[in-house]
Amino acid sequence: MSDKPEQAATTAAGGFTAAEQTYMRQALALAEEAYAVGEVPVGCVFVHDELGVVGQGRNRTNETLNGTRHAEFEAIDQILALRPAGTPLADFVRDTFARTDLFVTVEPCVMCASALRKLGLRRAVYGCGNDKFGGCGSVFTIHTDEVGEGSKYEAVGGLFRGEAIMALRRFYVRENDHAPAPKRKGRRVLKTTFD
Amino acid sequence: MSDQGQMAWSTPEPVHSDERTRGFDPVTVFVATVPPRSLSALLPWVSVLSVGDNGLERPLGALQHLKRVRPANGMQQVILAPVAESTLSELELLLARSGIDTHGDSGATIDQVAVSRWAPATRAQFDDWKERWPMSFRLAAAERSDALSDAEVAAAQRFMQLALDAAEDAAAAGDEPVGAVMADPKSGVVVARASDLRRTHHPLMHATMACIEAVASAERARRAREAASQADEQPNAGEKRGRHDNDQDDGQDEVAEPDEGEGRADLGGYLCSGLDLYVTREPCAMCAMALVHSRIRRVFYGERSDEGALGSAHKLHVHPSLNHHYLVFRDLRRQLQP
Ligand SMILES: [Zn+2]
Ligand SMILES: [Zn+2]
Repeated sequence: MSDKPEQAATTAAGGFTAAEQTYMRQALALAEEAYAVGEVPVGCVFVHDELGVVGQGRNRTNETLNGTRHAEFEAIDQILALRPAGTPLADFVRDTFARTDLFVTVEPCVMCASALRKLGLRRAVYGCGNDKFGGCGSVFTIHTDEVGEGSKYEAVGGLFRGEAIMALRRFYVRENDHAPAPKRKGRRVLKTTFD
Repeated sequence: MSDQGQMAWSTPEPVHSDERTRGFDPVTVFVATVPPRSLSALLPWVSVLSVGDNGLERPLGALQHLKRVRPANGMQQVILAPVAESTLSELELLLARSGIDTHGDSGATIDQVAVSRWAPATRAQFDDWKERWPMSFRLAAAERSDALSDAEVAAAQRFMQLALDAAEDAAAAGDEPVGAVMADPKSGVVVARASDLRRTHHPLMHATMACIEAVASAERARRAREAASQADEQPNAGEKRGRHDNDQDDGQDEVAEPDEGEGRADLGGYLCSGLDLYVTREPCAMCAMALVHSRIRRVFYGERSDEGALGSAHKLHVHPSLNHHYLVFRDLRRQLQP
């Protein structure tokens, strides 16, 4: 985690603790893993206040053929698998997520933001905003809406924002280069989303 | 299901964007009334008034849906500018430069007129708002396609009945009584069916999410079979994305799949394009957004939900920032006849 690649876009992590920076670097490494296999580079870790990292994930929508398999959903499944036999599902979910924070490289989309609310997440920390789908402030405010299943949670962005954007930008530039010519224009729109 | 005689289906109602449901929303503009012979002298000045900061002509700013000129009692009326963006004295000067005296006896005046702020999105809005000031209207593709034929309604009832059966299964299993069915409207084939699992298995496995996963897992299995059978003959061939509706004919037309070019990054997410979802309760924000990610074609739901995202708490399916929109019909449910 400490040997961060040299990048022009390295951003200040002011206001965030050393531990929070470490977790977001883990999330960035998972995003890098997604990039390496052709998935949209988004990664995340869930951190329990006593148990540490309890789940981690990266985008897996291509591999699964399921457009809902975002990093958050991958990690949440890992957490649910930790439920001890005999513990009721609802109890485990409530007790676990009330003590758990999410570190994710890109602002959760509306789907994930809503899922986190249902689970009773304590706090979400993200890198860059998501101007198209963002559910924690950019487009929707699912995390603080008065109406909605589950409980409101705090969401704060900007931790290693530049690194998160650069990963996405590299991905979309690569996609654009590989796309059939008539499709390229559409890709460029995505590329600049996180400016 | 046994008491068919007393139960009847309600008519599904399209859930439109606010743009399509809003009433007349006025914006006040300065309008010059001039003799017809003065019109040709005035119009060049009006267009000068309309040049934006970037030097490009901007016919009426945000009011491009309005006609510029209308006849009125032998005179011609011209929209000059929104009241918020101009002043009367500025416009009187403009008319004076065109040789039109608004204080003389030519009958020329400048008045304020309330016109529609928005372009009409429906025929009804057009018919209403054009009475205030003439405007142009292009029938949106969405408005044409959300009229259901009798055959479509019958098919929708059949699919929703299967979703209701899945909801009953969920209730019997001690879960949330919600069911969902994914169907291909072209072939009439049920592609997937799911009961809600949020209480008994997974807090996020709402019926809609379970149904999307069922479509994906069926396709994964199909591809695995295909890969296994082709392994000996053709090790390669840049396998194109298969699809549910190619199941029978083994995918000869897969190469021509129209979604193929959308970019490999999101191929998996497009697996539900062309499919319709039938779900007994209005989807929440999570499920509604999952359907955006999956590129669903249409959604029919039965009961409304206070926190529903397809008409109640949100209208996610027509949200302007999202890159995929879909049609939604609600209130498709069986009711006891009075
Ligand atoms: Zn998401
Ligand atoms: Zn839901």
